[in-house]
Amino acid sequence: MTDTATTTTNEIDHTTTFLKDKHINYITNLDVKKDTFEYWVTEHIRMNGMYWGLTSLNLLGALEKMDKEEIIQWILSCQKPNGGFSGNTLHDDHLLSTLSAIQILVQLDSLDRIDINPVIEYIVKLQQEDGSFFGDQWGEIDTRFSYVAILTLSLLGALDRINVNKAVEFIDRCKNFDGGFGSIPGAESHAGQIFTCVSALALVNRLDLVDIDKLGWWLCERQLPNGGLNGRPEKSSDVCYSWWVISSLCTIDRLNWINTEKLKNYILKCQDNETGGVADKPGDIPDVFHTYFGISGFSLMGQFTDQVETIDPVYALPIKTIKKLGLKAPWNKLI
Amino acid sequence: MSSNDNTEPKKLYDDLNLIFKNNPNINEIGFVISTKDYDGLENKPFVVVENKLGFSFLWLTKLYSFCFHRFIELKNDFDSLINEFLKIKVDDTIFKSTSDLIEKLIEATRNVLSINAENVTALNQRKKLIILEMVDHQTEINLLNLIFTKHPKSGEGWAHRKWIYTDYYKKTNQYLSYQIELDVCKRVAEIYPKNYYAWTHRWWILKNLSIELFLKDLELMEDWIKRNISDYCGYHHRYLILTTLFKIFFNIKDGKDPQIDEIEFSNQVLNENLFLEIWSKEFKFIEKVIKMYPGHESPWNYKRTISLFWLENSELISKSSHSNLLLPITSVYKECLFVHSIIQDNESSYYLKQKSFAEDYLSSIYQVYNKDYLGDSNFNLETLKQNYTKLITQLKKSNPDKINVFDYKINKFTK
Repeated sequence: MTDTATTTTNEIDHTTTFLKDKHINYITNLDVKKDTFEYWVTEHIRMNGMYWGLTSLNLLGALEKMDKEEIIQWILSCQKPNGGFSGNTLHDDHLLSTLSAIQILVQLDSLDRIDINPVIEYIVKLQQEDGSFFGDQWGEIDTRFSYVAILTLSLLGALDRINVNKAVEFIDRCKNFDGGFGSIPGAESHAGQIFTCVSALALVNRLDLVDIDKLGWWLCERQLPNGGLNGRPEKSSDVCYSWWVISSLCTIDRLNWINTEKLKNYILKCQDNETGGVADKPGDIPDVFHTYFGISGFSLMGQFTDQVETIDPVYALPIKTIKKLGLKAPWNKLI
Repeated sequence: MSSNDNTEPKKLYDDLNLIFKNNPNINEIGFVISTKDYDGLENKPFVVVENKLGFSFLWLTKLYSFCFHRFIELKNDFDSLINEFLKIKVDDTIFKSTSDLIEKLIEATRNVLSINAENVTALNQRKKLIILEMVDHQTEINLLNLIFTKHPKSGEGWAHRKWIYTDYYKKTNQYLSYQIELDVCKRVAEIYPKNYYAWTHRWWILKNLSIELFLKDLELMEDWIKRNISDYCGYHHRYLILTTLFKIFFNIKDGKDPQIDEIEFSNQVLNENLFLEIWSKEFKFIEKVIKMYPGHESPWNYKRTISLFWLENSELISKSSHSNLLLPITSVYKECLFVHSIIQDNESSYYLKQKSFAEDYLSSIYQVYNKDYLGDSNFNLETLKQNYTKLITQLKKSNPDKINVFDYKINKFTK
């Protein structure tokens, strides 16, 4: 009893405070937990996990907490003879993990540690006649892969190697009547897919294809009375949409169409004040995926600017990295 | 902690293989906290009851890490074999003589995927086995049906399914049973509502079939919606079918989906009267759902989508020879009357949300007044602007979070 009482009085109120140090601790300790089921069922997407964790630390100004050389060695161990990167050493290559690998390397200022030409070749070969992209040699098509291909090539300065017009045409075919986008032509609008399509179009200067009023309206309907956002009608709120919905709203310059104060409070409630980290919903167990989305959600809304660096909604990288690379970002007033 | 916790992982793995071997009719898998709740005995790694296989959580991590490493070992053996094959170009009997390795690989990948269906490398390995004709397409579909009972939301699993379907078609120029595909989508959508993958797959299968099957699916899904009124996926599916029929009927080839552009219009399956019946029935159907289940976002969203679709296309309809029959299906005026009937319905409008959805819906309808080709003289532009302004003022009060949006809308409208 006494114990509980003491803890309660000493506890920081996470519903009003951003738990920066706890989040840093949470992320840096993630790799230690190799005996958990969660570790094993996400082992195949460790590259994405590394990107989420490392970018979060970068935004929190704590990148030095990671062992840079160890990460680079591990990334190199994930590159396959075809140029693509896998989600972990023992796995097959995929576009999704290839983007994460490049996003990590640019943040570590270490792109020179790889030969970028095979990576470019790998992506170029995955483009199809209709402009879409395969995720890997097995041929799944999804607008997520269009974004991933376009973004990776932008970071590598090789956008001219693909047929951009065709790529745009395919994304446009996935646009729906409600202004949103789906994974393939006909598929329902989904906030995650909207983020990838809007960002891909932004990267190739084709935001003119977005019906900003219709899409903005659909996106702001995603805010629920509890302040949180969902990704489709009548789904429950989840912190990951703080990234997908907000980044899209930022890119089309409509962030003021939702109540950011309410959303901030919702994300604060999803923090775990014991372990650190952010969960999908208040009271759930945190994970690195939602921790990244929570932190970058604050960043996009310009909250806690003294503790969180600014992230770009399209590149999904801190703007200091974008500036360093000398990349263009016409949608971002801060660059 | 249970003493069973010391069980060797190899033993767990062998036991699992034995269970699959002795129970070829297992039709569902699941993870359980304790198997005791199912067979009344002590907590054990596995339980099989009425062809349903339960994995106890206590052993799951240990089992999975063993399955994964076992799979990787076998995969390495397989890869060296392939390399050898490519190098020396020996005849393909080399694979037949290694049927033991193949059998083990089939087991290992099945075990990995039963626990984690997202393991893309294990799925890829199975594709390689299918290409080498060591696993047949139908067997793989059956395995996926089983895996989906536990992992209905596995995006990688659904992508694998699409690959099997496509690969079979490439090789035989025939489809695997589309009925099995439509059935699994329905089953999975019931286990896990709002399942994006299942519904995307359903349309991807359906759009290759025929107008007759579109009509059949429309009928089937009416029932589904009545039982899942908050699941927007079902409405979106109806939207796809209806608008595809619209495109076929009016011969619109917009290049959005080449497969749909190729569908030939046939007067025998889709004539004017049937087309009229389908669309007017849809408006009546959704209005009924809205009245019966007040305050749900999905039916209102759907109503908005089909009304706007119709109104935005009314110029095209008005210029066609079907104008007299089809144009009256709806109009801005008709939609206004509907919204007023909702707001004035005391039985349901006490659901504050219903009223708010209704007003919100009306504001979207007003925005397309200039596309109303029915030529309703019930409105002039000034009245419309006044009504709209009044409506938006009300909406701003009931939705204070969206004040900026409404200010933007009113500026744009009254300009």
